[in-house]
Amino acid sequence: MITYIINRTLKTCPIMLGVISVSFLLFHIAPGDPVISMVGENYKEETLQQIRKELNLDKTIVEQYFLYVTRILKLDFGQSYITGQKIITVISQKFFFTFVLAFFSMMFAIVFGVFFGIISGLNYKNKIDRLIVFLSIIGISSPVFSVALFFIFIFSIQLKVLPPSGYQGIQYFILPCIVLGIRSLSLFIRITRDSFVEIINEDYIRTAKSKGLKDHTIINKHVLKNLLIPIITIVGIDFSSYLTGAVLTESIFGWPGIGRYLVDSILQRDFPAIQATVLFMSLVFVMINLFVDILYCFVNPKIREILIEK
Amino acid sequence: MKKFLISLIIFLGCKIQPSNDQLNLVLPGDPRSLDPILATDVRSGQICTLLYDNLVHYGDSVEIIPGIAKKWNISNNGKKYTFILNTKVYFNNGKKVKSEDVIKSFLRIIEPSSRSPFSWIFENVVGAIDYKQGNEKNIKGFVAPNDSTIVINLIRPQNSFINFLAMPPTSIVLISEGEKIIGSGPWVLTERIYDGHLLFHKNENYFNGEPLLSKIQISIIPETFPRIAKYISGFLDIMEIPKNEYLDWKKKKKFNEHIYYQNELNTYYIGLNCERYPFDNKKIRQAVNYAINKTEIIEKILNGNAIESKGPIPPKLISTKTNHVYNYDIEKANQLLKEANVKQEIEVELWQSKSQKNSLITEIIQSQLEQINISVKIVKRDWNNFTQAIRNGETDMYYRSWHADYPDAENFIEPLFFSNISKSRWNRYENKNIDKLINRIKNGDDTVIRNKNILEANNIIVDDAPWIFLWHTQTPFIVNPKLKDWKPKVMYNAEKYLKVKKNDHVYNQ
Repeated sequence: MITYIINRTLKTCPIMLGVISVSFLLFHIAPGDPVISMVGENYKEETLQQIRKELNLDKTIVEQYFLYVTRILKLDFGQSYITGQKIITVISQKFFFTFVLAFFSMMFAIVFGVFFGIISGLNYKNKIDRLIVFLSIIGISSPVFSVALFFIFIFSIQLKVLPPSGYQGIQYFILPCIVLGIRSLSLFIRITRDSFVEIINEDYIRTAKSKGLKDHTIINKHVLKNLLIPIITIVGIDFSSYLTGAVLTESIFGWPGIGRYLVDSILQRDFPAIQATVLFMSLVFVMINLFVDILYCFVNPKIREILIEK
Repeated sequence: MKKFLISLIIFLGCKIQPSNDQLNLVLPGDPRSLDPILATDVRSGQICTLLYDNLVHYGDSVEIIPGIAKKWNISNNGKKYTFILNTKVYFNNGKKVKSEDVIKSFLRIIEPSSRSPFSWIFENVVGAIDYKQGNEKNIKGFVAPNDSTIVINLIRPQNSFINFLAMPPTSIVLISEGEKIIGSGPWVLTERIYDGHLLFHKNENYFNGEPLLSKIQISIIPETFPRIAKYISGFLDIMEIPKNEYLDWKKKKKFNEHIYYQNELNTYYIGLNCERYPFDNKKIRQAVNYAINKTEIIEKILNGNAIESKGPIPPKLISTKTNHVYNYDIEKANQLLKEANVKQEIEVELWQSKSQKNSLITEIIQSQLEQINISVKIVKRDWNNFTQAIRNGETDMYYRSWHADYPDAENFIEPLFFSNISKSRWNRYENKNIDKLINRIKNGDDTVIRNKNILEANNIIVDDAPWIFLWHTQTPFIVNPKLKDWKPKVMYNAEKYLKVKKNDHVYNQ
């Protein structure tokens, strides 16, 4: 198992090198000049040349690439061209907020998704099931933007019980977590319901029933365990995307997350910030996938055997 | 489960109340830098003014009032500025502000390794260019005879120089050992979450009297709707009114009573590439000026919150009326095209930066120019690419605006129409007479002659029509009914929120 984890971790190195190279090339080849974003409107031409020299932007792209890779190997992510802030400080602060938002959204989605999925499965094809399925379809198909605005309108403007944006207290977490988690919640409901109906008709459940086990014991011992694999898969995919691409939710609720930072950096051609953020996001993505694979091994011994054999 | 539900109901039932001792403001994006020498955007300038002081400040309008300097004197030849510092000004770490701090702050802008784009501010100071090039260790033009006096010697008289000293980059700061920037302003930054918020506590020892409120929180909210929600739920005290809400709010008494307008020093225009066909022809440039119905655009798109431009300079900064005015006149436009020997349809590209507000404006302009047989293709790019395309001279026409760095007509002429600048950065306009006039305006000291030169330059530019002159905007703000004694100031960096307070007895709508 440990050999497998080490192998997988080592395999991430070429991936990260690829990410560094591709992102560097893409953003340097793409049109746009970071120095234009830095100087504002009223400036002297020689100032542009001087700043380019200071930032090594007057060197060839190959020289710039090697300078960049050397710095990354020393774990020096540099400073933002635009704000002069240390990028590592900004990213760590922003990642904290993104992580908190993603974590609580996922918790909300898992708890309520599995709960309503089981309720739906237990009431298969009756009114409650249909209502839950109907609501989950709305949840999956509603754009984040409109859900967010609808919730702000109801809870902040009409009822005035929750703040419309910010993050300085628990009440500020409720709306963004619901909005971000609502799509995963709906997916969890659908997956849980379908898997539940499938599992409940399996022979081993029939055997358990015939042994006289109570419904909740069957659900706890047999159904929930078997639900873990599809749930872990969705958590892996959605949690990664929450950590890297919750830009809309972050913008609407004024949440200082990493997605917004990347978009702003791209618009301003802030190369060090773009590269460091892309690198960081890729690392997060790779790590979560690795973590999900390891979890599979713990949950399902069959998968563990296959992976270790490989 | 029951307990959880009860607590949830109680929690939701508790309406959260905003504090009466804190001013809540909003910005659509993070300020670029709180280092004043890098404050190239309006947001950074607005925040720098809370944290730092200048030798002189802007008043409610465009007048200069004392700041760290309690008085100043300009020599008869206009080349020597002597400032006497207020001895009661202290940095927030308790250190007294002395003349050496003023010089150090100025040197930061112009030192050889500086990344500040504001080095032009001091290019007229004796010895500044040598210092910038690394030939001298000090700037001869900055002299500190004692701790409370500073003398600045200029190469040539420069009427607008005093304005430069009220701009954000010339703030007086102290750099601590840990490279921290310390100011003497009325507010101290105590908390900052990038892209989240900035929290300021008042400086109780502020030399101009401590602020009446204890705290200011500036939230960064990029989207309009959450900003509106925040205002309506009482968590915002001053907010620029979103364009889509303006007409509705203006009709409602509960909103209308709390709307204030800021007349801005800006100019909106369409730059016409004077170097190539079709706009290398003056008559075609004049024709497009006559073909634009500005009144219609101002009413339909800008909700009436603008005044028509009669030239590049905002009316507040120019004393006399201009000779030549382009009023909407299709016949005149067609006649000018005929005189220019235009027989076929003209096809041009109109560039703009990506934004919904800009799109509506450029689309109306597109349809208005169709009436004189000019076919316009709209090209949208993000800000950086858009600016670069203009610099490279790739654009036939571009929709842009210019906002005053300092309140002087010169700031609307030199950086935009001086041949060398226009040819490398803008719409390739070249007029030797304008260059001569600009040099006279820049170096002139006699106010009457200077104003005459400004007017003459303005008239030549209007006649040459290198732009379609559009409008100067005013910004409507809505204010929390609790807030007292706030009115928008003309200059973006004039507001220090010293006298603003909140009234307990008025409740939010």
